[in-house]
Amino acid sequence: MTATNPEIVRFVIDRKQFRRQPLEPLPKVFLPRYSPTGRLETSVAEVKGLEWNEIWELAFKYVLPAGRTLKGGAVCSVESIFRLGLGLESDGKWDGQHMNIIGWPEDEESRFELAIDIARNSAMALYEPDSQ
Amino acid sequence: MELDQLFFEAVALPDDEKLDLLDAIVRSLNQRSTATVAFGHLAGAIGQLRNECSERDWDGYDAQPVNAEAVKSAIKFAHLFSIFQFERRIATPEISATPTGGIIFQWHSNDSDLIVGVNSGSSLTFSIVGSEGRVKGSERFANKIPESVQTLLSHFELRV
Repeated sequence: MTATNPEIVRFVIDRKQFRRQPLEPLPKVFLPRYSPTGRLETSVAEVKGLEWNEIWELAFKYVLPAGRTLKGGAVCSVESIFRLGLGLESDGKWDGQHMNIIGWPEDEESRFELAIDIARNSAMALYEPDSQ
Repeated sequence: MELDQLFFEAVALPDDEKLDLLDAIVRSLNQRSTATVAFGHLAGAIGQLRNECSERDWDGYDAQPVNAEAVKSAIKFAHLFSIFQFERRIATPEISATPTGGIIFQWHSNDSDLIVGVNSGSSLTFSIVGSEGRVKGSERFANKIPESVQTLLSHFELRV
């Protein structure tokens, strides 16, 4: 997966969520949290066809906590998520671009394994404000 | 036998034996010292996580705050790991909070990724994916790192 034609992006706001040499996201970026309904979900943006300035705008508008800096995005394909037996569900948020990766198993070790697999099929795109 | 007792015994030995024993004592002290420094680094990283991830939404994605039991377990695991790390020259892990309130230790090499997670109590979960296959599971731990996890950690031994 390269960052040139992104389909799914998980925004990264911590330097410790990716490696620089080689540039790649760490598995923890994709680990799910419990939603208010108790379901395990990983929040992502569906960005197929968007320009990078439009993609970063989603991060600034909907994700970035106050006082934090956007570092970039972990990018993967829709197919790579489905291939692992996980699902993607849109909920209409974020101007219709928001999705959740769903279908996570309850046992933590299987979630670790899936997060490693997603990260291995992902690329890291750095946010570089000067080039926008 | 305690080190101070060994010192006293060393004094009474013939010179050649005295030097051997003193050398062994110094090596033992160095080992303890190195493991203590390594533990200090890991404990410092865990303390930093506790501060940075203590409130909900620390990641911008509504993550749960890291829980106090996970911090305790992580400190315990870090202590056991720092001793094992010195004995086996294992790479230092990256320590992170998870969005479900736990703490994970991550190792990466050219062909393998290992995550060990601690939550509450004395149990840990682990998963490794590498060129030699994949293994996952959970174990309880008390006074040492479980054998199964030691085997996985050996994939991350530093080459000298």
